[in-house]
Amino acid sequence: MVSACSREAWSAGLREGMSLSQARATCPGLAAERHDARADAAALASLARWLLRLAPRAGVDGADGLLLDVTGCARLYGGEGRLRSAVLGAVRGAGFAAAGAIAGTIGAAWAAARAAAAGLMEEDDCIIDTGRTAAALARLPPWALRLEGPTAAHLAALGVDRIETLLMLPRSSLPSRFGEGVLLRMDQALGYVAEDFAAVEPSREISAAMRFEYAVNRAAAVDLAVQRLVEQVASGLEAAGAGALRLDLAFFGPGGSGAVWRRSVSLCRPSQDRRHLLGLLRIQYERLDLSPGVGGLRLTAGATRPIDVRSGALFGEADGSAAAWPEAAALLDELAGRLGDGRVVQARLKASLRPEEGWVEGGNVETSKRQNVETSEGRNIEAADGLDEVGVLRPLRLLGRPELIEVMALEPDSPPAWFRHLGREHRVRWGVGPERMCGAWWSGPDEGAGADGSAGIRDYYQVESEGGCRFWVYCERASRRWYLHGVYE
Amino acid sequence: MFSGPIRLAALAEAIGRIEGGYGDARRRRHIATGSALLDRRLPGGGLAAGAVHELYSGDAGGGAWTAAAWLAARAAAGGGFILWFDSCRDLNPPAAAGRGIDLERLVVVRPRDRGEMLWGMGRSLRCRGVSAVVGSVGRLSLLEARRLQLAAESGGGVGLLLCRGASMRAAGGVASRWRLTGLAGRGAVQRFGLEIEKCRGGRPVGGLVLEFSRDQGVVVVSAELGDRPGSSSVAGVAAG
Repeated sequence: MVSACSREAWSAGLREGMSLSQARATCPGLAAERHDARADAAALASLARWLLRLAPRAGVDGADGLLLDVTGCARLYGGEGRLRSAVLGAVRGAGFAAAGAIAGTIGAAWAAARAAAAGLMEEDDCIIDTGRTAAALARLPPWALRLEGPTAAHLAALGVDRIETLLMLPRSSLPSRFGEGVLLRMDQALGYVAEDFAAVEPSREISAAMRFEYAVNRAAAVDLAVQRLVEQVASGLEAAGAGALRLDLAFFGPGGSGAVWRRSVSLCRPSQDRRHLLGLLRIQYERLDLSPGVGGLRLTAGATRPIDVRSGALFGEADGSAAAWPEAAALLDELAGRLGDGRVVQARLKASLRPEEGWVEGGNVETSKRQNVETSEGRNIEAADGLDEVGVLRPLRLLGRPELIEVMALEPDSPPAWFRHLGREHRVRWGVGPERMCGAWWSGPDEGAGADGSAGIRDYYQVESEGGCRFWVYCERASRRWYLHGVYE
Repeated sequence: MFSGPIRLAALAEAIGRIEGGYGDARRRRHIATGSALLDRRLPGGGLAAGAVHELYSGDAGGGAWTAAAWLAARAAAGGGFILWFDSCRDLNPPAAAGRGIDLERLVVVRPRDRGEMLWGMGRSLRCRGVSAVVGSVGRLSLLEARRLQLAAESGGGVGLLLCRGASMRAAGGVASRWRLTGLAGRGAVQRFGLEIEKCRGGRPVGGLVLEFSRDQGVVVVSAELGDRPGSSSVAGVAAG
């Protein structure tokens, strides 16, 4: 069902409430998207946050409205008219269709704005002085008081089609006939009952920046500057009770130019420790060639998380290992910083049909307690419930790419009697198998190709050579070739 | 004057301190391997913590990795992390979990070259939150082995060096040298011959077999005569 349409769609004949098939019939070239209420709400909230540059407090009203508290702001803009134009201009410039009104109460402003959007009120009348609220709202229909649907319909059925008519009815009779809400909404609109709205929190980004008067190219000076910025950011983190999970450092070029060098440092555990943060940042810039000169720096805590003071208890360790965590976390950060991304990982079990995919890498060591794990690409993968029995029987050393071997097998579907790998011959004295593994049936014959480029069906055998060493080999069904996949080291 | 037993004890302690290298010998602890048979024969009743040990086997499938996983899991039993340095992406974590390692404590590190690996292992051993560091670095010079040993002493963890082949063993400076060889298994039970060729502060240990199976995990039993494959000399000794 259509819930909203663009101006062009409206002129083509689409209306809200139409079914999708009807809409497509009316307008063949229709581009339809699913209504995502949550995304809409998030976008509205971020718009409210953006409008904080124009007013001290902003909040979201319902699914399509914003409330701004502009008490005392009119003077900054040179009058309420200019204030309204500025706000509406900003919102319209961002691509939204908008109508707005300024009034002394939320109820009156709501009424005037919606009425203007519905064409019931002139744009110029949308600035309502405090003393003249009742007069301004007089000719608007009752729904403009934010009454509920049934109540407004009831009033309309009775012939009360303007607010001034409603105001003339005896107050004491309203609750019994139309419910409690009517009286409240009237009083709120006229200012007899105070009302406030929930404002959005401004996004607080903890950052520190420094600009130099002249370009600096001495490493010691830059290092000192970074130390100062770390100190400021750490104080900000402490005040917010959070630790940094990611730090973004940017160097600006000389003479007011933009950022010429940027690096991010990720931490496995939120930290406020100045020395630790400085150490991680130093790894990034200590080898830079600063000869062109640095005009300024900026350090931002890109991602933060509240720090639990009892951090040892987070991991359920009652023993002394809780004390070991900060040091270990610092070590892992340093290793990751120096070796690079994706080189310090933890393993999570993953239910998979293929042995080489039985686990995924998780970079963030702290997410160990969660069952559903995000990989570095951000997908959710279901973790295996526990180690299945088969996992234990897998070799400890699994070759990244299975290696081709020559094999002599006496009977089909039985372990080979002899094989040669990289020039070394092994005579097999014991073997077990076959264990058949196929790719996922939904991958189809062409996809799901294994590491050896096969179409997927493999018969695995565990064999023991005469020297007592155990190997994991398989026969690739389609090509009848044999490979060594792992060694039970 | 000192009586006989007190003199002997004082002498033994003095020798222990000299052999034990720098650092207070009394402070060093030992990690019980969980096998009474083995712990009885190790000085201090277990694997020396704060030290670097070498595990080598002659060829692929010899059992050095299984022994390393087992010892690392024992070392981390009291808390702390296991860092496994694996440049070739060979390690199979589900199998490591089957050999006793808690995956939540296992961190796999992938250095790009030998220099990074040596730096990483040294830095990790120095950290007190790390219980075990496992890696295969090829042939270590005496200086490199000594550096790792000092790092382990300051951090208190255990370093386990995996070597393939006698020529890859460190020139010296490790606290103990374990040799694993492949042995004929018994169906679901995989077996490796275990010898401790060199052990600081103790005597060489021989005649043991490391068995791994799904039901029992890793256990150490004594070798019986006739278990060795081929023509190697028989040295099996029944447990005392």
